[in-house]
Amino acid sequence: MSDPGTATRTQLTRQVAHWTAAAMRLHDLDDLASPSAWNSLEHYLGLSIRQHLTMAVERLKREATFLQTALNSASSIADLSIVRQQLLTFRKRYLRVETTLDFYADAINTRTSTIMMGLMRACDTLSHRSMTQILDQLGKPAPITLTYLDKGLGASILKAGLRLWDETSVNPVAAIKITRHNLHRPTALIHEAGHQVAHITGWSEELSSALEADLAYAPAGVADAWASWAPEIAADAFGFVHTGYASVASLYDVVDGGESVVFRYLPGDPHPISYLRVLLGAEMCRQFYGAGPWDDLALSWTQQYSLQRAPQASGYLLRESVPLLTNVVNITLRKPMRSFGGRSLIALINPERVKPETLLALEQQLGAALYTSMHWIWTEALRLLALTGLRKATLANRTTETIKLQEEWMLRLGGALQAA
Amino acid sequence: MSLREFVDGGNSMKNQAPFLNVSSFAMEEVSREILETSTPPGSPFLSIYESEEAGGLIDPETEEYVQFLNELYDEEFNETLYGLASEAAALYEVRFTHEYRDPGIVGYEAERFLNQHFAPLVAEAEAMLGSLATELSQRDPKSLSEYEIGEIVDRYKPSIEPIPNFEDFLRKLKKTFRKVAGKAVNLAKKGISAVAMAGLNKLIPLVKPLLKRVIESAIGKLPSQLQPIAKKLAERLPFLKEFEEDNYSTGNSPLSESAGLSEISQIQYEFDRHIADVLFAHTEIEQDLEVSQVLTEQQAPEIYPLAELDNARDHFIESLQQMKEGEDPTPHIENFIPAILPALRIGIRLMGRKKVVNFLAKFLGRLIQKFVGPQHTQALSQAIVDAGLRLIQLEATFEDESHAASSAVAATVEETVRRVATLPDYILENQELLEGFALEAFEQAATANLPQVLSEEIYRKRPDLGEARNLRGAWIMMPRGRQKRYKKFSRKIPTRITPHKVSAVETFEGIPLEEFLEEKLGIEPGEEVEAIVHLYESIPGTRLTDISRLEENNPGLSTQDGYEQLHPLTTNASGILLGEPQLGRDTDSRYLVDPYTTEVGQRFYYLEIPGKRPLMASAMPGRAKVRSATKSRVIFDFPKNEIKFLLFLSEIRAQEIAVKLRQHTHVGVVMANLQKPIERGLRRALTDSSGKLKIIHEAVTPDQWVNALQRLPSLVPQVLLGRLNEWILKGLSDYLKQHSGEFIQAAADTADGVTLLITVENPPGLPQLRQVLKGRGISLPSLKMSGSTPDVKIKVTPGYAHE
Repeated sequence: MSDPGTATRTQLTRQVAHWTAAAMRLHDLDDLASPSAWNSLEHYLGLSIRQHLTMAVERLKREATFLQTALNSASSIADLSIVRQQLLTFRKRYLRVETTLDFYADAINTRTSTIMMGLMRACDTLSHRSMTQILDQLGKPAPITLTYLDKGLGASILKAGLRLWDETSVNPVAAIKITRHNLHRPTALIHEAGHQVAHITGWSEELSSALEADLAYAPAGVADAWASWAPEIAADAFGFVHTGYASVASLYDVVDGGESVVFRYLPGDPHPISYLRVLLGAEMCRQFYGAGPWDDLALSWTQQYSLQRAPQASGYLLRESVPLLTNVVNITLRKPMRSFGGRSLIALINPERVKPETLLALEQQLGAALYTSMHWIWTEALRLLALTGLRKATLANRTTETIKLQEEWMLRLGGALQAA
Repeated sequence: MSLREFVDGGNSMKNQAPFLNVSSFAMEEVSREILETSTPPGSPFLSIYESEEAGGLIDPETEEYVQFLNELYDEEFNETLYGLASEAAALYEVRFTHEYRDPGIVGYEAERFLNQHFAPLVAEAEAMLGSLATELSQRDPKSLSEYEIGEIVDRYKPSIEPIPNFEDFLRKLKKTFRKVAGKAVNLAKKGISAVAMAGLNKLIPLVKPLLKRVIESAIGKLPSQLQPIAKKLAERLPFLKEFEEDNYSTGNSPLSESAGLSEISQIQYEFDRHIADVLFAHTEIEQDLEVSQVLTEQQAPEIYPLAELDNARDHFIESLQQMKEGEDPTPHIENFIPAILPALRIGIRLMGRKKVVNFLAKFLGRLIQKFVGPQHTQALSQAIVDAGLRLIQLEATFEDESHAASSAVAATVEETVRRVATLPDYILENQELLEGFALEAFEQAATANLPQVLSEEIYRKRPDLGEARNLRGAWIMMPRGRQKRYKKFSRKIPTRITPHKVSAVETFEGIPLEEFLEEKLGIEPGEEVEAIVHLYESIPGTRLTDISRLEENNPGLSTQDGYEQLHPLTTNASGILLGEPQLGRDTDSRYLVDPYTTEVGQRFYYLEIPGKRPLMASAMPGRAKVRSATKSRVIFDFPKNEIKFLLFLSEIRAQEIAVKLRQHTHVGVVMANLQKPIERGLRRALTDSSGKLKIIHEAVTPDQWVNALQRLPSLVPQVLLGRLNEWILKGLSDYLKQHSGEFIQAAADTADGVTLLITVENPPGLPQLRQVLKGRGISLPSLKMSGSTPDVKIKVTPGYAHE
């Protein structure tokens, strides 16, 4: 039997070798996702993620080298004890870096076929474009977007600039999850991009304060609730100015999960109560577009979900909130914001551009070329999203045809990006 | 005055030659006898009339042969061959050029490897030609129409995986075959060749030699017997020789060594000529002989000028680094110059002039002596570091800095030699003139390649010696390592792109930069953007694809089509974009026609515009291609007595017009949009020699297209320009009034852009022009092209259709 020092060193040597080798293995990014999956990313996006991950792995490898050096130079039990602590830290770091890598690998690997690749790339472009349209005017760079597919009802975003699992690096891209059911109506992408824009500009915080202050006349607690919902209200408004009624109809379909869902109020949840969210969307349409199909949507919603059946926990808040919707729309869309350089949201992105009449006139003016010409698909991508969303919302009997049309132009948009 | 006298001369002379005005510059006896004597080229030019009187009439078959060569030659095929060569060059660089080895051995291995790489393509191409030839040979040529041939050819589907470059090659080869089959049928019908149809099958073995040439070009192997087509045809057509010699006297001839014909063009010329030789052979035995001759020509000598230059440059740089102060570098230069010359197309002129070469070695030895030795090298490296070496070589080590200094000296020597090689014979043959011009060449080379090494006072007095002194940059040989492929300016220059600035700058094909930025990068007209300008310069062997491939830290450039983002840095472009006109290099207009033909020393720039990326169009499924810009092409088809004008409208322009047509806008407004590209395309092709022009004529070969119109009286191209502009605008205006739906439909297609094929049929004066191009004297009034109004036919096609 060896002495305790030798025994400890033996175990440590094996473990350090094991974790070092594991870290080295992370180096080959083609082990994470196949070359074809990497190639499915737009050139800049692929390059950006690869550079980021390579740096994370390089850092880990350097730490592995330090660990190995520390072990080699450890000469006492106390030294070995320090090395052991360092090893435990390294294990944690390894797992965190691995989580970061796995996140991107999973996201990239959802581009399983040419079609998925094309649709995902189109989603990348749509969400990025929605951000540049506002951030360019504010002189702020818009992050590249990586869209990935997942199960579930709602989309989500891992914002660019946030610290990642490995705790040493920040997310280089806006990673947006789009759900399968919404792949052919991805207005939710724009909602998520709105979160990123709010993060970059500080809009949510400012909107929250504005709601709190401007709704102060409301009964106790109501303004606070609306202020707490500011991040989601901001994102909904961002979706609206870019895609108009399509975003409202799409929201309706996602949150229409029965009374328990529609009336649910969870203090601290940044999402407004679904009942109010849909009505707020309809109110946006009404204020900017006048009468239209959103009136029927709101009518159906309120008939389906009578406030009289709302649970006690949310009933009061709901009833007191409905009369505020007009003002909430005003504050959110028309109020000048410091985050927007003293301009309002609609001064930066005019919702008139996606008014149903405007969209139909666009279709009339450009004819078939609107859906086939790369010039129009590229320059009018967001309005195409709004238009096909509008058709889907208003021409339910032609859904199959609209989905086909949507998929075709999205594939053209997605296929027309440079491969990595 | 001799060099010695020049150097020893009064202060005023020293002041005029600052690089000579150094104490370390020792005097050297330079013999006045060093220069060889040679007689000036004679003037064997014979007038056409003499030629005809001497019985030199051309037979119709030969004329048909030349016409066919013109029909066959396709500038688009150059793009395909360039793509294949670039692909091969990238594979060669990655696998074979890392360590020092004998170029012959490396070349042999590389050729074998690349042959394997292209084997599936060769097999598929041969199978395709075989299958099509067999199918056509079973048909009666008398009843076979062009349309049927087209159908048969289009029906053929390649069996291999559609790799972009391979697929493109097969498509272009199909197109070539279609023309060949059409001609074979035509020859059979006319009774010129009874075996022309059988000859289609004989084309199969010509594919491999074509790709072999492409591979040789990619690995920098000196091809055998690549000669301008006119020279080869001179025996068949004596008058071609006369035109060549006439051009030679004006320095425009492809036969002249300064012609700088693109290697890729020559490869296609050669392939076309082989095809024509087989097709025009009278018996099957003659056809077999033509084919076997092609295969024999393939035995190229094992000479690799670019690899030899890489090695020699590397040795030279190493030698410079090991030299001590005061040591004479002449022996090293003597070893270096013989490697520089074969790598320059122009260099062959000096190879036979040993005395000039010896003079240059001694001359340069003296001049660069003050830049060698540890002390001088260190000073030079410091100047290069100050000029921004680390901006482009982020992790530059001390060795890299020292290497950069010696590398700059080597570049100065190379450029001086290149500049001297371009000097006309009368200077090379006159010692005094040579000395003066060689010194000027050195000064220009040193100005371009060395950082600022002279005193401020000298730069004040001689501003021509300080290139872009405000930018304080230096040209660095790139990439790091032994093989250098291009030079890069150490500074990235921020600039603001304004509509006013870019309106006066043109890029390749004469496309206004303003239009390029709008149509390829989506910059709105009137939009102002911040850009970072990256500058590059070509060295022997540089392809623009090399620059884009090796600029891997530059995401906008390092993509497959990235080279299309490089623009020629002329003095005009440099002056406007950078405020430093002297950083630009003006070049012969033929190097501005497309990015496939560039010359050593030519400079380019890339505009990095944050947030802007190339606009893409779908190509093959799952693949994308950078969108094309608006461009045009003029085709004179003398046998058919018609002029074609192909106008490709970019997707943006096409949609702009389609919207106006849908809105029933007045046709005059639509025509105002079209007038600009039409006028520009015609002007560049007819009067500026830098546009896309094709001439199908019995006395013009494809390599003469650009200069052929110079045979016409000087007023004629202007008249032609005016008339064509008028006919086309009128014809197009009528067409759009009556058939706007056709344009709208084409614009609604998913293809990128729309092509308008405008054919001017039987234009007055064209038959007379045909005669003038053959050297026949025609009265000027008959060349006014006035009289009847020709028919103008218009066809609209979605996407790019160039013929």
